[in-house]
Amino acid sequence: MANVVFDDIQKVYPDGTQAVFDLSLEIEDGEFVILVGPSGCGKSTALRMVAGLEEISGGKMLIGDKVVNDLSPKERDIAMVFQSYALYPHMSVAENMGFALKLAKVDKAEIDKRVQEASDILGLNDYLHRKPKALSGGQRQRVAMGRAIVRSPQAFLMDEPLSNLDAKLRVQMRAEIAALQNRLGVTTLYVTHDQVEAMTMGDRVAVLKLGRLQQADSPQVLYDRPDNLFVAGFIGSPSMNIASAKLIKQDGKIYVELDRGQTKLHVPDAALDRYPKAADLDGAPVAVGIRPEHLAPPNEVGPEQVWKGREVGLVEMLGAEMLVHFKTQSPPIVTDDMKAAIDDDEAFEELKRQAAEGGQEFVARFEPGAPPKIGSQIEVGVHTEHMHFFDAENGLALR
Amino acid sequence: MAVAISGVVAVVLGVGGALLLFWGLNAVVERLPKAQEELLKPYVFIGPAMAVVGVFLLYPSILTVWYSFQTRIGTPNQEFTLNNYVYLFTSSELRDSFINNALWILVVPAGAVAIGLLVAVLADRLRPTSEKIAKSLIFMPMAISFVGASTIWLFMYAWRPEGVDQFGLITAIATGLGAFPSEPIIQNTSFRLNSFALMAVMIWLQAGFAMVLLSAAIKNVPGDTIEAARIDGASELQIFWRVTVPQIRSTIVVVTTTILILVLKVFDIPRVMTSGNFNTNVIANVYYDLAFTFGDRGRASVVVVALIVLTLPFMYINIKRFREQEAMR
Repeated sequence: MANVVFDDIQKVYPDGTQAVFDLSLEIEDGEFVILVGPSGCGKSTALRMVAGLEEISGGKMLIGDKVVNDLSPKERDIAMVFQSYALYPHMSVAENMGFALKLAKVDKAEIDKRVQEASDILGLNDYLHRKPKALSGGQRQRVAMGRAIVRSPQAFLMDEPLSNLDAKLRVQMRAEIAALQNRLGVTTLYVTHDQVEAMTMGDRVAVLKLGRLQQADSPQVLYDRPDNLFVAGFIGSPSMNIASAKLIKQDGKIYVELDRGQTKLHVPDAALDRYPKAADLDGAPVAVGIRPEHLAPPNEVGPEQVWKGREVGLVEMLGAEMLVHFKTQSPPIVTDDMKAAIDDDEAFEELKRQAAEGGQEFVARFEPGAPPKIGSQIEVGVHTEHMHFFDAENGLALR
Repeated sequence: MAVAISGVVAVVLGVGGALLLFWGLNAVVERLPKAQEELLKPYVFIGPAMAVVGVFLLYPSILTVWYSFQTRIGTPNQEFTLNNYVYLFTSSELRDSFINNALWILVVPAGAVAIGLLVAVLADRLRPTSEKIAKSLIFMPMAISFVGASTIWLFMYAWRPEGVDQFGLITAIATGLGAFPSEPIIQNTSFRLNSFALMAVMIWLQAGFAMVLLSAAIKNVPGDTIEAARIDGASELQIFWRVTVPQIRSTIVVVTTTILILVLKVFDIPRVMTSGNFNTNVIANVYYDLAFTFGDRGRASVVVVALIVLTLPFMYINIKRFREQEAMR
């Protein structure tokens, strides 16, 4: 086992397009790090550069403190799990798992022993003699994992290993892989576009956008203290509500102006302690963010934190919680950052449409109860102490 | 010119006639009541083809088997005999031909597949335009008839006495290297060298066919499995033999058996290049001589029956493989 270090890594394709810019990231020995980002963010390219399947255009790649830029995949001693599993169709499960050892001329008894151990861990004992074609998606996924485990490599590289599974199985395998990684303690780099996967599995999550690292932190830090608008919008489901607003000072207190000045909510010092630069702004436009769970019934907050006269647009009853969409007159932030964070062209078009109409919908996560009627007016309490503030121009957190 | 015109006329008449036949039959059936029309319609289209196969393939085959048990065919003294089969199993000329055919079977499909595979693999690594050019060059002989190819290679192997300028490319190269052959390659029977020289023509013709199918199969091998093997520590050669080849196995079998069936029927090349002399004779050529030179239809038939029996297992394998492949799509 070993650490993996990206030192100012660049990737430029022969046609001149650059896929990865100045990527520096250290994955400690035994750590489980997730590379996450929307499609085209360079996360798979970064992983393939570790594997040696993609040439490194600049910077240094280290595995176990050894520069591996010019080493073949074989010499790097890493194992990889592919999105398509990439099982050898003509080999049985046992042969698939033992192939690397066979190539390394490990003796037969030892191969059998290690395949058996991996198969015990993964529950594949009944399938060892089957061909991949005769396995279900989940079983194939396990074989792909087994092929990696058997090697006891320096590091595991996983490229969206769960994206071909159905939703239920994905949740199950998510937990299994996380537990397995924890148990084996092998340094793991895991690529996904699914932020839920990223949040639930990794020790640390590195968020990429268009080939640039945005932030690498533990899931909770990413969630609580996003460095910029992209991370704020990308991490969390439903996403953070983000709108353009103004910060103003009145009688020594700071207020956030929403609905193009029609609504004024008090911002306690707690919020500004986290965003010190926001305190200096007076009347300047900012991007404010508030997570759905920080919107609450009006009785839970102070009188100056109640957002009055909100029209209910849609209610989603999810059993354990209730998502209430309500209309605002606050214009959304329609930038490339937000577009990348949403990673869904249709959803972005919808946001643009709402922007043209003058406002956007916010989502509030409430305790389940009697749902408000669609079209009725409600009051929403805003825990402004949990509000996030970003520069309206460059999207950076005002810290 | 006249030949060209009659060729065009033949094509127009042939295609036009077939069109007219189907159109006419269809028109007739469509006038029938609905129930009968639906009953008859499939046969209108499948019928002529079945009739052609029956009259020109099935009937002659049965007749051939029948003839193989007859002697003095076509004369008033025609009668049943087993002598043709005695000839089949005792003639030394036939035995030599069978040995030659066996050599062709061993060498040609393997040679064509090996070259086709090599070109397919190497071309796969070229840039797209270079790949197209390289493949076109290898594929081009496919468009040449066996007789044409044999003539071309007769020139390649052409031999002049020592001291005279050699215009046969291969003889010229050998002479240039200081290894002037004392007799034409085509006549050199030591180690059946001349038979191998004939086989080279067939390999030259069929390598392109093998390459096209194998190249398509190689492109179908998922790139992920190759990358997985690379990460598993396989060298390029190991990837080829242990990951690529097993995944294109069924195509290799189909290509091999297809060429093999073609080789079983080989006739044109020995006929044109040696007429079966110098110990290069093959079964089909023996048949030709028996049937058309000596007019012995009984013996000719027995040779054909032997050829059909030898072909059957390969046909069976080929069709089975083909079905498996279709089922996998």
